Amino acid sequence: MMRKNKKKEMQREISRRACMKKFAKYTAVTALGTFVLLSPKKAQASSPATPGGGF
Amino acid sequence: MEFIVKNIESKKVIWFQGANQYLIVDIPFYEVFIRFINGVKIDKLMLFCKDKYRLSSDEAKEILYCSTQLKLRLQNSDSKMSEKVYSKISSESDWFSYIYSFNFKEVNVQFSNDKLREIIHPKYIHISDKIDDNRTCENTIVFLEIQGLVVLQLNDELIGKWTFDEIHLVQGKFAMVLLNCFNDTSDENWMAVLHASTIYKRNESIVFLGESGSGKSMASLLLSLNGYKILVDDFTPVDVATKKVFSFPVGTSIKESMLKEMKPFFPQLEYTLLHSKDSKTKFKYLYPLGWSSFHSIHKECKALVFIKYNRIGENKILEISKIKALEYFIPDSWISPKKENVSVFLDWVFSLPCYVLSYSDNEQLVLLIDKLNNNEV
Repeated sequence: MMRKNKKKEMQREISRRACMKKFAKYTAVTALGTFVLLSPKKAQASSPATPGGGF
Repeated sequence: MEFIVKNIESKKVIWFQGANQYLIVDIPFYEVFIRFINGVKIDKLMLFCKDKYRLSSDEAKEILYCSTQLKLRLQNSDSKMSEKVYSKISSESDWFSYIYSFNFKEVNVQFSNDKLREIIHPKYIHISDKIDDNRTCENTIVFLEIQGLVVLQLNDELIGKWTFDEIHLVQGKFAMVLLNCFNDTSDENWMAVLHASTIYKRNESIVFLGESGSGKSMASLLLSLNGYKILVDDFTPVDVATKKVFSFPVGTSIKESMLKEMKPFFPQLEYTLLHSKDSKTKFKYLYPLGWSSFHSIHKECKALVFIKYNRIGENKILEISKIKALEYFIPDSWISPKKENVSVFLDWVFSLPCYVLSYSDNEQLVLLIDKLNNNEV
């Protein structure tokens, strides 16, 4: 059971990380307001192979 | 830590030079964070949070924890080293060699095998010509496959190397190198290259942003049948000196799923080749006529428009905050990491109106863009 939970947690962690990578974003809500840290692309790129979900 | 701070819509936008990252933040958090990175001690910051903002101890601790995490992220990104340059790689026989012409410049582009040629060349066929012995070019761009990597060189200098999973980076970097060759310039003279398609009428352009598949290219093509011209597809360079958007001669890609809809307007699609990005995505290119003889065109930007095509849905255009726009397009753009350019880039974005345009009907799209173009939105 423990192992199953750990696996689930790990999957969630990976998908969260993948999500962060996709949006190149680090964000939080605090008692003094929100912040978003954004990274532009390291290099120029054309459209990726897999189309995204849109706006 | 070097940074630039700009005020917009009750937020602060801070760009950090070493990390080349943008922090968009509410002013109270900014007041604490800026003191933190300037070395104010933790106990003094705790007092500052409690006295000025009436935070509890736990809340103040959380603010300082977040500040520490942010600082760590900015420092980790700061330490990346640039790659070593390859030694000169000797040339091989049986290469594919072409001349690409635009803006009265000629560039020799060479591919060491057919696989590499297929990645790049189809997008530029309309500006290409076979090489012959009588033509010499100032610049030569070379693609090689070495140990499973795609290697890109300009005049025997390494530009970069990527795996075959990073083809979109190869294509983007090649486009940048070619853009520089055609305009006799270098990366540092561009403030940004947006993942966007741009149209223009008279002296003003409208930049369409959005993720791949959002309908940027299709909207540009439809508008090109209704009094607008396409400045560039999918790759929009913005010059730092003039703040103008530049043209670049790439073919417009049309996904297989949209071909049926587009063929009545562009019958030449019937005869062009179908290409594959991967096993799922097939597409054709539509080439603007006479590109090779065109001079580079530069246009002022009138607006940034995030576009979204849906088969069913409302047709509408709504203004959005510049902060929201920044949040969407910074991660999807290359922005010059040069301090002076970042400042110009942020001022440029803040000076432009930003919209979201949703459309399902082609005629409505033209009407909405006409409205925007005539300052009626």
